[in-house]
Amino acid sequence: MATPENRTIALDPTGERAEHRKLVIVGSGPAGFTAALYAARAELDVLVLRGPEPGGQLTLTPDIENYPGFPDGLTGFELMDKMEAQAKRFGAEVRYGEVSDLDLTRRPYRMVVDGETEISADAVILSTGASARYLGLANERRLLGKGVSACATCDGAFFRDVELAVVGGGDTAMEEALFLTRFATKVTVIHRRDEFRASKILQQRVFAHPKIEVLWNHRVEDILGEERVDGLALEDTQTGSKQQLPVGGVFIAIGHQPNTNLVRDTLALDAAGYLLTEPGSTRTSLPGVFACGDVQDSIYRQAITAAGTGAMAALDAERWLAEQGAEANQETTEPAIGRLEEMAVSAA
Amino acid sequence: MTDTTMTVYSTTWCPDCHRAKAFLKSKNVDFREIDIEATPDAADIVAQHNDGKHIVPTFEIDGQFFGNPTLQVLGKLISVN
Ligand SMILES: Cc1cc2nc3c(=O)[nH]c(=O)nc-3n(C[C@H](O)[C@H](O)[C@H](O)COP(=O)(O)OP(=O)(O)OC[C@H]3O[C@@H](n4cnc5c(N)ncnc54)[C@H](O)[C@@H]3O)c2cc1C
Repeated sequence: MATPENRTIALDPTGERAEHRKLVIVGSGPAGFTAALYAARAELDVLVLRGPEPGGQLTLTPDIENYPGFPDGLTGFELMDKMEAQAKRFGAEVRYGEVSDLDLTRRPYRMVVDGETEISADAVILSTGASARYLGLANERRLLGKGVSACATCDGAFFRDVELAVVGGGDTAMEEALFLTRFATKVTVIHRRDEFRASKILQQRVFAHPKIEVLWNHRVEDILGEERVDGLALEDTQTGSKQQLPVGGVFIAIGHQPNTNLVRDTLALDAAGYLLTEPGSTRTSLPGVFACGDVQDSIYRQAITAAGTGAMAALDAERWLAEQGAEANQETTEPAIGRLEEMAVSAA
Repeated sequence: MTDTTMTVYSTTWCPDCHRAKAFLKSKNVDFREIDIEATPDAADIVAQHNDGKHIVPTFEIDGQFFGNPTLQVLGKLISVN
């Protein structure tokens, strides 16, 4: 991920050496590829940058049962390969590369890919999605990859015939726990409240599963183990009493954080760091910059809603580019006039 | 690029393996694939070169091992070799 520390470049101030595109879509999840499909069908010159996780979060899941049109379900990779193929069929260009810096202070907007290639764009669609959130414990970091994981499908099969724990109470936690039953002898779901946020159907599967036990009202105080995880230190949130749970691995599924590092100083974000968009549209606080998918959605966070807002973003961008006409191509060193303050105020 | 020997240690289910293989194919890089769950000793080789961890994909390029590099780094590795 691009963090302020590893921002590498000074952008070429004239932008003369930059490749110029009408529309650049940052991210290759369901939001990005749907935006690309719509934009390509509208015959916009569109470039998609795949980013650090080509295909996005869905590639972490082996079965998708709730994407309409696929009654028998399919894997995340199958669905994302299909979305990519469909966008390409209408002329979208899809490229490997991560945006390491993005300059939205003047138009055309400019970005640096992988710290080396500069691209300018009239319009930008941000569909950078979200990444797993961690508990923030020192031992969690130390033991990452040594029994601590945030992705059951990535690491689960390394935990055969041991007892495991999943921390969290949402859909992801349920899915992770169910998936891990393929390998583990027992899975304990640890949740700090007395009810789950997850959808009813997933909760029911968890409750019905003989290998899964739920530990309500418990908080993970520490992750134990020298070379590898061998247990968890837990606290009962009601009584304050402590206990240790021996496990061979722990999967953290406490939610996601939006990937907005690139724009946190230039676009309006909500308190949790999600990109703010004008209600009923995908317009961000700067003209010609649109946001879709999980990066601007702290509520629904589904493939279908990401795809839906991806379509909206392409339609919004198309309309905006048409309104700009030739103007959009004109080089300006004036700072883009944003509605950043306004939106930040109305969000507060 | 043609005389480089590249081996990818992977599993059938790992998302990063799938992504890395798609990336290599898009760059027309030939590689040999070893499923560390189906090949005796392969998991040990991977652990030996990754600080005891079973990291997949692990790449062996001309005798050197790289545990799950980013695609950007992988791109550099194949363009150097
Ligand atoms: C384990 C798991 C299982 C799930 N199962 C389901 C399910 O069954 N059904 C369902 O509907 N939803 C499911 N979801 C949720 C679903 O995956 C997300 O809602 C959806 O993927 C969001 O799509 P997106 O396009 O907004 O972002 P993402 O899928 O997060 O994609 C973000 C993209 O942005 C790119 N990117 C990030 N930073 C940069 C950068 N600096 N430069 C360039 N590119 C960048 C990444 O490479 C990635 O391609 C699941 C999520 C997880 C984690």
